[in-house]
Amino acid sequence: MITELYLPPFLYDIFKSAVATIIAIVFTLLNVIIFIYAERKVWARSMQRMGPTYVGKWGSLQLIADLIKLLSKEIIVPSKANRVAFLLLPILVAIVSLMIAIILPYDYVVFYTLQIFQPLIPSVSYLTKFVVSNSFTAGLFIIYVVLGLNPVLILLTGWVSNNKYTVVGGFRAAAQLLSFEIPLLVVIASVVVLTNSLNLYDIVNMQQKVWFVIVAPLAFILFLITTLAEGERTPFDIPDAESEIIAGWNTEYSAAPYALLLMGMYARAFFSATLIAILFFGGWLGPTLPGFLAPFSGPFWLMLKTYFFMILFIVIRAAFPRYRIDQLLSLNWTKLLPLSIVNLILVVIAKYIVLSLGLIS
Amino acid sequence: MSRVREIFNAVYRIIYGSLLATYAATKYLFLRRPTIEYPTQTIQFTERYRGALEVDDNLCVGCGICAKVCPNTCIFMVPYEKGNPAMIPEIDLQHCMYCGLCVDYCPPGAIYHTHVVKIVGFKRSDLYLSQEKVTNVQELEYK
Repeated sequence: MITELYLPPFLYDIFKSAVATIIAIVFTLLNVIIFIYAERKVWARSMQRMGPTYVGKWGSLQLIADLIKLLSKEIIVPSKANRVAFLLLPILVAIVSLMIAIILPYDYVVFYTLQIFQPLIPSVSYLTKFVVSNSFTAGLFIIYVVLGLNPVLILLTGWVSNNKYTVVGGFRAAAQLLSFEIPLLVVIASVVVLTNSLNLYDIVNMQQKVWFVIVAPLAFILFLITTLAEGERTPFDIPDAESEIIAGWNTEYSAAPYALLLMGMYARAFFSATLIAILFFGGWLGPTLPGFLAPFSGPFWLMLKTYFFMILFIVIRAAFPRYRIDQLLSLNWTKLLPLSIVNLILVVIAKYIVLSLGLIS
Repeated sequence: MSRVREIFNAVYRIIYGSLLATYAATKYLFLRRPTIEYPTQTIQFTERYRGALEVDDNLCVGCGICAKVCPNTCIFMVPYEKGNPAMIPEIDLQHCMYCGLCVDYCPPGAIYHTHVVKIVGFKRSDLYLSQEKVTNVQELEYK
């Protein structure tokens, strides 16, 4: 086990960031597989079906089998499509979606989970120095700057496929994502008003005494709705409404590019679940676990909350019908945007009350 | 004032409806499922369940009443190769409607329903119960 690395400072920083990034991305990919499996299973159960049962115990290896199938299939490019862009865009979508994995505290989750082996291997505590996600002073801002590239990429993906369904899906996605970004960012601004910080670690540490869902319940509801729309999840899955426009902007994709697009979509939904847990439900704050599990308590509470919201997304998908595109846009511009501005004003008042009660510093 | 009440009513309906839908979807997560995993699990059959027909050649007297009463005429009397009884019914399960009249009419009770339901085959002739198969229907069972 390495206890100390004798490297020049800038090389050491690069090494540290690379390790943390790889760990965060691998953790995200693992959770994407868990998310898709949970979605298929929970969705089936809420419709009284069985879901995957045949491959592995309770169908747990079904997703691995699906992934191998997708990767081993032929990549079909439509003859009139722009071949280079058609094959390049799924990679860009995947990169854009996975880039923000490093800003969210997944390296914290992995490295602090490994601390339960500290009694056996003392030098494992050195790994806590490898956490880099706490160094993003504008982390929350960077997340939405990076995700802001998504509408462009999705519109292009629909455009280069040269198919009317993909173009319609792409335009719908662009309209939806661009318009929902405004209330989403206003709601996030309200959280930033509460904390005076864009760093996710600061935001969590401000919630030591009271979770922000209690201080700003309207902000939580608005964030839940807008983040569902940003992740193109039901009831706002208009860009890939399968009963209207086949599969929307990813109609022409198959095999490995399709796997990349799917991975990007589910990764964004997983990040949304984590962000809800961090912004409104106190992230990793919670009672310390007993015994040797004590270092695991932070990751445990964070992942418990994340998985809860993951399951909530799936239940919402099972429970709600899809909006029409005009209903969606009118919901956004006439209801969510005014409500988010009202919320911003309410949060300023709430901050004054909470400050006077001494619940946040 | 009525406008305010309207807005409050709308908000109430949105919240109540959303919670009701979420509750309904969540409730089904914990209910016992009415379906089973078909190839690996089987349901409990009732005692008089009407599955595939089987003939006991120790009891059969070869009278041919089953072939006469069959509404679909899917039972055919053929000479039995083992000799005793002289004639034995062969059954075409493609046409059988599992009405059970042959079972009701059989004087010695030699023809009866089994609990075999997985009646599948690669050819049409697989579903024709010739005299070797009709006395041992269990081998029809899908593996």
